[in-house]
Amino acid sequence: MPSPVAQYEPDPVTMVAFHRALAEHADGLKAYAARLLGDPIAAEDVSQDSFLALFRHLNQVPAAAYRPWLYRVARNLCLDQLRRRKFKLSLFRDLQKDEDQPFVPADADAFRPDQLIEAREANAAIEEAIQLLPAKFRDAFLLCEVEGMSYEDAAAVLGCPVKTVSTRLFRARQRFKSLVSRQIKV
Amino acid sequence: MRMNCRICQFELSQCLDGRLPSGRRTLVMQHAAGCAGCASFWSELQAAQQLVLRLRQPHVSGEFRERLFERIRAGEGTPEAVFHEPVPMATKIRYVLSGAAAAAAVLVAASLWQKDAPRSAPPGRPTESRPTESRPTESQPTDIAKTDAAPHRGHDGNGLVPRVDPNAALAGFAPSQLTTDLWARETARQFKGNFDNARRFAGSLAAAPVVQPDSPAVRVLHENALGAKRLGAVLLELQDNYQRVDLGNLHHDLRFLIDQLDPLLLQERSPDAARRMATLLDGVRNLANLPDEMAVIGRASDNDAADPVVVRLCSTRPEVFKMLFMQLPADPDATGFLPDPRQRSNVFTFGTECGQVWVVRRSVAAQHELRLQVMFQSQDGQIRIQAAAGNDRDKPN
Repeated sequence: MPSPVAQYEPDPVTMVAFHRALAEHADGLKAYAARLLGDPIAAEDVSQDSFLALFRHLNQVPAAAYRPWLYRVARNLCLDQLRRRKFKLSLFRDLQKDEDQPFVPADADAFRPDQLIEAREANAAIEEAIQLLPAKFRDAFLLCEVEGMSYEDAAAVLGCPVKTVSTRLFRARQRFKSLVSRQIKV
Repeated sequence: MRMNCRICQFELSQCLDGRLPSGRRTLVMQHAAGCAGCASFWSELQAAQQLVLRLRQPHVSGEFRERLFERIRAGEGTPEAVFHEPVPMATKIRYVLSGAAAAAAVLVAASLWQKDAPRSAPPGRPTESRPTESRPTESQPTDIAKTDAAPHRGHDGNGLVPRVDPNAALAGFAPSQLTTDLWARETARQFKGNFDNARRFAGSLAAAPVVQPDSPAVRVLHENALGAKRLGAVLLELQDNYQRVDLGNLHHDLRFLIDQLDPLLLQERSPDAARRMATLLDGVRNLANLPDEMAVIGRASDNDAADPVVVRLCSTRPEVFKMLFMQLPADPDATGFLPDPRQRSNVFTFGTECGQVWVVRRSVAAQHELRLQVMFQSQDGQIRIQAAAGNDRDKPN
């Protein structure tokens, strides 16, 4: 059932803040959702839905709270999707796993240089390590380490105390460090 | 607080985020300097963070803003799933303290309202929670499929009445699935064609002393530049949003080209504008190698009913779809096209809610003068088959 549309016309200053938030956070929000969902296509929808929700609540959210508000909404949307389409998501992941297999070019004019493969493998290893983190630790890691969010904002997104965020982040870093030990060149 | 390795490592994590007061930071660093384990932990922590910073950040698609504001203008409400997650008390208090009490109140009220409201969407159908039906989604048919793919009915100028069922006529012919890798390669090929043409015409116009704004050369230049811009944007989208191609170092040139083309395409058509266009295109001339240097990542299985990226691109980039593929059947005077048997490998299909859409690559049609057999059924019920040259790019549309 659609939510009722708020009949609210934002003032120009608020619109500037909204546009700025769009420019600054749309990509990060999509990246965050993509890592939670494992599906970049759905992630863009989540990102857009979050901004739509923000627009409808512009008169209720202070500009300083846009970022945690957006991430909070995006997280809710992702959790909702994960809950409601576990089966469908598993199909998507299977498909993605298939796509990760070595690609055999169908055309003679397509090729893949070794460097690209190496870079892609390293990237995939890091993404995989993030996915291997326990959900609670991954949440804190994605927000603070990947998205560069402050502990306070991350706490607002996750709905937990700041101290909990710092502890989860520490645990996440410990595990992540050991998972990517092959890639770390100290 | 007494310093030991456990505390030190926990605080080093905070140190990485600049969370420690300077006095405490000095203590932690002093301990790390004298402790091999903590020193190693600190170095690894920094190296791991560097790895994370190198992660590729996906970008939202070019139409993200436009689609968002379309939804806003259409009066679409807040997606209901926003309120599915109960908001913890700590967050509510934090919102109250930060002056956002109203936001928290709305969330709580909506959560309660959602609990009472009947759930119309069945589990496993997330797209049905969307409050509008106007927005293109994976599960919705593409505009193209709605407008062009449906069989057309009616009389043509020659009194031929199309009554042949194309599905029956094409029975036994199973084309390959239109997959993202094929879409990407076709985009790259067409991009090269447009880019080369634009470069050639920009060069010749730049050398001309006078340029008539409405001359065919100017029109061709603009058409090709616009085409290159649109196709390039799709390639960037395939790379950034879907991770299905890797443009390597060329993606910088491509982004630059697209950014710079926008104002140039709006400028008055003059020798000066043509010169600027020629300079721009010459500066990114390496993009002519894009089809060779682009790596296509992964490939959907032929068993899939529809490649979701293809369905999405058809919906969000209808203008590019038409640049890349000729759709079959699409002639209002005919019920079906039968591709020449020698060219059937160039026919592809993909599924939409309106059924299968059949397409032919435009580049192949142009290169090999793909011949299509057009089937007609006359009023006396006799089926005629006549050959039609397929290199007329606009014929089937």
